[in-house]
Amino acid sequence: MTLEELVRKTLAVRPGLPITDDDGPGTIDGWDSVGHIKLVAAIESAYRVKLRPNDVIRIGKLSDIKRILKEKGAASV
Amino acid sequence: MGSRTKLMPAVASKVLDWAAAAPDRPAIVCGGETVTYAQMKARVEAAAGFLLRRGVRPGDRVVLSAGNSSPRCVLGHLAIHLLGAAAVPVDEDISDERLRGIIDKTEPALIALSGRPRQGSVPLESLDSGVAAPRPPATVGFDEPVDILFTAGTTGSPKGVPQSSRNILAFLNAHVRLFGVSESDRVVIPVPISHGYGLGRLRLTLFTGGTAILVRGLLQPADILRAFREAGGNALCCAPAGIAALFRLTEDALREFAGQLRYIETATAPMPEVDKARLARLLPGAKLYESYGATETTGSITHAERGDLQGRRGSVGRPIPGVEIRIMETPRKEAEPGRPGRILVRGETVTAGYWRDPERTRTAYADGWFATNDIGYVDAEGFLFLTGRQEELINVGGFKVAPMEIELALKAHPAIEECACVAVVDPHGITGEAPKAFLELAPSARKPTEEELKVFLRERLESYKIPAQFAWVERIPRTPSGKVQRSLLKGC
Repeated sequence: MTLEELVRKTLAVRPGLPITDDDGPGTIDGWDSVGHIKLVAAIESAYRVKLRPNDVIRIGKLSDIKRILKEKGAASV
Repeated sequence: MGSRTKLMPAVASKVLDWAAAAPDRPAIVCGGETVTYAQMKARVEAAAGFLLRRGVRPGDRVVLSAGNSSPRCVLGHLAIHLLGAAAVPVDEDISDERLRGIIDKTEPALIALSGRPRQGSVPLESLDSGVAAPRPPATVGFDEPVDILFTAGTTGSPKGVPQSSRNILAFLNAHVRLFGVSESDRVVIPVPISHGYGLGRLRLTLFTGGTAILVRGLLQPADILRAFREAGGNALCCAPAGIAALFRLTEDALREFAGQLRYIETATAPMPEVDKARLARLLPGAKLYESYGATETTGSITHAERGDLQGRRGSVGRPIPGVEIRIMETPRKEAEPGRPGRILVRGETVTAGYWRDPERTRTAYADGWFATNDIGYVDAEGFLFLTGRQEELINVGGFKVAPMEIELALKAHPAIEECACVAVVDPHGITGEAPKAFLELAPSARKPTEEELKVFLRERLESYKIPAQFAWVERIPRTPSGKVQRSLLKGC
């Protein structure tokens, strides 16, 4: 599953709505406080990584997650 | 009988005073902006000019987005008060259906919303286009509504709670003493100001000339840390779910602010003991306050400080000054100390009834007493303990959600014949409770996936109302009269 697919599934994004690397809490419906925690948990589970506090506070948009996952050596982001 | 006294709503009036006494002190830090008291006065007066030009008059209602993302929400709110109208604050991501219900009930003179335009609304940004103009004397009757807050009703239709100057001043007087608040307070408020708890803390901070640092929930934990680190926050008001989320996402980062934080207050749900102990370990010098209240009581009914509740697991503290609590074992019989019953409250903070809803008012209000939705008992020392709920609301991280509202949204799906929602433990361990939906498939229908159902609900409900779990069942259990037996679904 790609990161975009994971975000769609976790946050129940409407089908057909495009998601880009620049999207984040301000542009994706459902990416609120609770959605954010769900997303962190889903990322950790799907990519078998542990997001540390310093990682989590850097997440402002999709590209930040991709960068963090690459730093952690996660495959196929 | 209500008082005939008329006055400018307390918080708006004090903001004007602070603009003269401390013009350069920051009033709000929000969305990357810092607004001083002098700037706030000028912008509130300009926004009032805009509202006046759009026909808002004393006694009117104005619906407006009240998010923590822009100072405009606060400025608009105070501008409404300046004109002697009542503010009806709503969530920024309010669903169309809920908004419709609120508009039908309040018949607002104007609707100012952030985000996409809806139902004849004007953009919240347009408040900035106003020009200060002579306005009518801003006086409101002591018992007339200053704000009308909408809360969940068990039938799914929203209940409006008008809070008057009497209620708000009683709340402010009690809390100034309880918290020992001062002008040097810089209070971080991540709870939404469209709800009673967040709005109450905003009122208290502005009333006392402090600085309100508004943060959009726990969406970005970095924002909370930044609020302490860069904006100098020295107090935090938060739901226990927010503290749990901070721990989950930032581990022990709060330790960095041990010498800076004067107090942390939690409300809306009991805080788990393990989280209390962790806070005490990380912030040994900070006071930890716990409160319990309702929108209908204009905020806290009880209050406790760290140490008060040791050995009193499940207690939410003692009544605040001016509040009386009574426990009713039956509608006519008061409970003995230690015996559980429905919690009733009386005092100046207790509102007069629901907005244009005499039937619901009759059910919950009588002789100055308000019957809460909670069951509990009072011990011999006067500490209140919560043991259950009278009605079946789900407490999602402090947001009260009516199962029926979710059920009505689900029933609009063609593949769902019947459904019922109950509270389950949040699988992520953050919000305390989360909704779980039990579903009956309609004849010949294809079973939708969980993802499809969530997308369907996103169109109709705020995100925190979307069930965390779905389960398909052959039959929803019902009583012979057809009422859903939710108790049989709990634990399934």
